[in-house]
Amino acid sequence: MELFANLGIGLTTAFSWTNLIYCFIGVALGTLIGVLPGLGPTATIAMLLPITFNLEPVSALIMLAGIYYGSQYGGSTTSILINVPGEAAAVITTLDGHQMARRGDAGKALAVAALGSFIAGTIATLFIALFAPFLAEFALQFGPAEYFSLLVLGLVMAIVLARSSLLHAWGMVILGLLVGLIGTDINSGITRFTFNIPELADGISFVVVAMGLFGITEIVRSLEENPSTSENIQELSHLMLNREDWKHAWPAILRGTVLGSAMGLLPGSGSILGAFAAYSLEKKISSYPHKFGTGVIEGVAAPESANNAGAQTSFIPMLTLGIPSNPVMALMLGALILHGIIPGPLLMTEQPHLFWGVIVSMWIGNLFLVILNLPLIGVWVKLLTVPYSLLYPAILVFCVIGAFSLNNSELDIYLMALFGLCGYIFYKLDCEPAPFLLGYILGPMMEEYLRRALLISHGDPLVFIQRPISVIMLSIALASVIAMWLAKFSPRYENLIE
Amino acid sequence: MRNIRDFGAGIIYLVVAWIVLSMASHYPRGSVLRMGPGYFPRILAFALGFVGLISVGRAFLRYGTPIEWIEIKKLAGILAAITVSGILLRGAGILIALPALILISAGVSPEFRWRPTILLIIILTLLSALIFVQGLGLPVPLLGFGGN
Repeated sequence: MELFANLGIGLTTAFSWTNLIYCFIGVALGTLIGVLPGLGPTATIAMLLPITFNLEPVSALIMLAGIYYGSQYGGSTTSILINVPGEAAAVITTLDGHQMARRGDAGKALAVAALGSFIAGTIATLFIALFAPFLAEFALQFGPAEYFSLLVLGLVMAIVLARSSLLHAWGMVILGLLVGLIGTDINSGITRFTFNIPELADGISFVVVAMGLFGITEIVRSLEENPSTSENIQELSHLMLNREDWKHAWPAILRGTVLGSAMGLLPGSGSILGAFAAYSLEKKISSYPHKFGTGVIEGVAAPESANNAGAQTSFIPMLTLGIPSNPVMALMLGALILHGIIPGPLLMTEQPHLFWGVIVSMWIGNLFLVILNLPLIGVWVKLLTVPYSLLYPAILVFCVIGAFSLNNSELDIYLMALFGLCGYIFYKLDCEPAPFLLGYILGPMMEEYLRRALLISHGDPLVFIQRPISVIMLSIALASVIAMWLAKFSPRYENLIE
Repeated sequence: MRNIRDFGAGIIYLVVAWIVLSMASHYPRGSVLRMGPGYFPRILAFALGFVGLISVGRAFLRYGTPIEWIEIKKLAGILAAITVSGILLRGAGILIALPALILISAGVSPEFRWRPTILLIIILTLLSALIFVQGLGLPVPLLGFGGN
């Protein structure tokens, strides 16, 4: 069985002592930062990126993945205990999770979130191992035209699924694409848009962009909103689930896992769709739908499982096609490229250790998550009481040193401040930064594939609609834009946003 | 004007599109067959300009919510703290730069108090100096005397 051989490669890589340690550090750091109120996975990963730079690519990716689900779980903790979601997907957990906590069942809510995530993670790992090779084989037929269309599809999905206005999502993607072009053009060697600053010849490090847009902006935003951290923390109850709880929770976990795994594959979706869909499904098939929102255990189990399953399967399009499906995957992609690894269909055959090692380490990471979180939950709760006025200067210190250490250059510190300012302006104008980041990372690739596709077709732009896979992807992109545009006029749209 | 956000964003798109177009005119355009370094930027700039025009136009047609109060002091304080620490990092050393960063940024908060802030400065600065400079060899002086 090829599957077992592959998982075997992964097991030997992931179970090496160094990788186990990095996985553990990643999960622990991710939970530590993610549990701090208001810091979601994107900001956490952006902040912690610099510390993975000196590692081997496999270890770096394993650690980053650990940070990802660690911070996601940390975000669930804050959602449940103090009703502050760290990211969009965790909003759904607050609906019933916080109600459970207010009723005195915080321990149960946290336990079902952790166990649900673990079960979902286990199933999703198997799903990836089964599914990813097919996708990679399929992607081997891709030429430059297909890649270009795929990138267009990915960007369009990011635009369509943006929460704010469609128009500004377009604007943000194009702005991001343009900023991505700063630096030396690989074909002609001409430096573009560098304003005669020699350090910009290599382009702006995406770490600086991410830390500015997500880290610094987040701090200023939180300061304006004056978060009150030390209040409203709910008492912890016992963590054990009884037989009745399990009876309700486990089918919800399985359904959430299936929905989340499927949704995670969609480009541009991220985990929000999965969590949302899982919650709606539970509500629809439940015999007591009116109780949802008052603290039912399915309302925590399903979205949390979907979240985690989606977080894992979203690695598939990133690793096999090089298409990030959400801002977090965009950060992962950027980190891989920095290590000199270009994700794509060949990654699995050329770097089986990296590919399968990361997949297996996800399962180990989820195990660490359960081990770390259930017994240590008291420690994380203590962290919630750290006042924000002492927290953000510490985060700033970390960001400044992290930015400087990229190239040992002050310029990166100033650029980080500049992107922090940009992010703040975007926020005030209701423009989302996520499409910007996707455009920024995909910009150079898109230009290159466009160039190559047109070179092969002798300058005939019809190549994009003559090749079947390419035309299908462009049609999907077009159809989703039209569908979204039409949906804006329907009254149900407002409800969907809520 | 009915929607300040659409207007503001639209102006940003238009200004960036204009800057890109004027800079890209110095780069060879090439042809569809052999795209030069100026080709793709130009396409993007035109697309961005188009989005900007729609956005500005829409600002006069559709009502939007006003922008909530911008607390310029907090924004400026954080950005200033980062910039100052960047200037001081090599010139004055990490033992000056980090306290400046922490003090300026912490001063922005309405919950600012001297005692915990000073404690934070001492702990964070010493830890960073130990871990990053002594431990990991970050090329930054502990205490500099101007110049690099």
